[in-house]
Amino acid sequence: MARNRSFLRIGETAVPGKSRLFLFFSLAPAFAFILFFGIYPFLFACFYSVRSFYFGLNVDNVFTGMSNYHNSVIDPLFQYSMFVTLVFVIVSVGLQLLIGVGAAILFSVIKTKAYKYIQVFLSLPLMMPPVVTGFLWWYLFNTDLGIVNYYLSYFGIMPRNVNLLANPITALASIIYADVWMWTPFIMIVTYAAIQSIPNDVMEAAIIDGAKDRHLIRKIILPRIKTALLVVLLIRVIDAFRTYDLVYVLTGGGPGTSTQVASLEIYNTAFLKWFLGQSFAQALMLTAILILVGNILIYLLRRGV
Amino acid sequence: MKVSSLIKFVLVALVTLILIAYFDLPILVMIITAFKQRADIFTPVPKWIFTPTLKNFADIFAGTTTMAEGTLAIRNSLLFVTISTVIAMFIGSLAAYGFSRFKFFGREDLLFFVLSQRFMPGIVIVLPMFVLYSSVGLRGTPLGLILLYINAALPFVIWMMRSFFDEIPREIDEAARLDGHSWFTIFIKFVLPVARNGFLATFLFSFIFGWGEFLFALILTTPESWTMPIAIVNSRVSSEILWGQIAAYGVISIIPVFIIAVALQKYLVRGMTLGAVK
Repeated sequence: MARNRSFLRIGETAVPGKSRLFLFFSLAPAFAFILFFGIYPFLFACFYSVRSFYFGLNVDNVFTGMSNYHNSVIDPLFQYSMFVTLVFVIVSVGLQLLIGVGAAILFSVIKTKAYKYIQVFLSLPLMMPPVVTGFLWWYLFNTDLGIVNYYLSYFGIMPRNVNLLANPITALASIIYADVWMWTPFIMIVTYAAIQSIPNDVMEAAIIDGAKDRHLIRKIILPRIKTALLVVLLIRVIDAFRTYDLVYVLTGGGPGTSTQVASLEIYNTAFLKWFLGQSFAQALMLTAILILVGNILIYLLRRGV
Repeated sequence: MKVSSLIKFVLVALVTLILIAYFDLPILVMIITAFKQRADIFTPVPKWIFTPTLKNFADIFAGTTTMAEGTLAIRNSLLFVTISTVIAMFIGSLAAYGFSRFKFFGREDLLFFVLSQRFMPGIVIVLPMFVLYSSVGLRGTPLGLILLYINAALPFVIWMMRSFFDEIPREIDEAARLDGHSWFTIFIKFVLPVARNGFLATFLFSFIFGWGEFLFALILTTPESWTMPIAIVNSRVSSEILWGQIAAYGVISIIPVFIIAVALQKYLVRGMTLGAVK
């Protein structure tokens, strides 16, 4: 069973003297980068998040305690941006899971040989640069030229001249729609691969024992793809919390500030107000949430669900 | 074929068609828009039949429009992403090899520390770097962006390559050790060649991620160092939105990644999950 390695594996080789030197030099360059471009900015942000630090403005840069954090927490705009982000993450990732896992199960229950080719076509949205995806949907949702409005009105679902990106609710829905479009293939493809790795005899034994499709799904498939689903969930939830490019291009946070997700709000604090101290505080609070969510999921993963 | 399985087949065929239409129709719309003339784009009814033109592409490359930065941005993107990915591949593979072959105190924690870098919000990294780069004169320079891109690619490369190295029997290393080769020689001459498919796949995935990167480039580049995503976004500033050219731009930007994607189908799952799901 040497090939069947678990998610985490403990190596066998003890480390003697000369090899220790190599080990050090193999890790050193990578960690030098991570220390300088990962840890240093993080510490920098921590340090200046408790100061009245404005960039390029003539404001005294002094220690202000937790006031940047406090002012952010009580700022309705920041609260709202966190709320919108949360709604976006839950609805968007939820829909992606539902459609993605559903499609993956469907494809594996039917066992089609064509899946290999189908996957190529379904994986295309995944490969697009997010900015291009944003622009594409901006075009498709365009009131006068976009096909979304045209065909929705053609089939009488809504009037032609409604600008979907100009209403807070439909703007958020449009962003979610584009995000679901972009990321559902990811969940589908990974889930399908996880289902394929279930040994055939397990499935066949269950079928011979007279298991119905839905039993097969609930009792055999779902428990065995838990790890893969957790990995996917981890990646998607955290990336969704950080979403920036898609929203920037599609609505720019508008109309008004109704789709201003957290990253966008932080960006605006930094580059509209030039109040970097406060933007650091906000960014660190977002990081704290991500660390919390990420650690829960990683804990579940390391424990083997 | 039983009736029930026939129904099943029809059902799945239908769902497959719907899924493909759902995921690929928007891309198709972009592609055909890129080949449309202005008059064919600005129509109240979407036009599916038209006389194709290459004018939009020609405009980008000739620099005759507001998108004069077009070729420069394409060149920048290719250059920055290739350089940073190549460097990240070597630094990252080396570290991955160390992680894969040696057991040492805190190894798992270090690995998850590396992984946590992948999950750090980009804005936490880029804002301090914006301040630092401004003070040392690295803002807007290719070097500054490339350094950050190397760092951004490292967690992915380390996790991916470690999962590939783990699959290579360590007997190879041990035999080479007995022959008196140094660890570095073993890594370069014996292990890396065996892992070449994984190496290539990891390289291409890193390339795709770097190719689409937006936030770092948005904050740290100047018009001379704009990458493609930034040039695309800034093309919106002009008084009239040049849909045809933007679409042509989009098509150019997806050509390399789509070719890579088709080549990578075998490694797709692994690449998208940092090697955690195979």
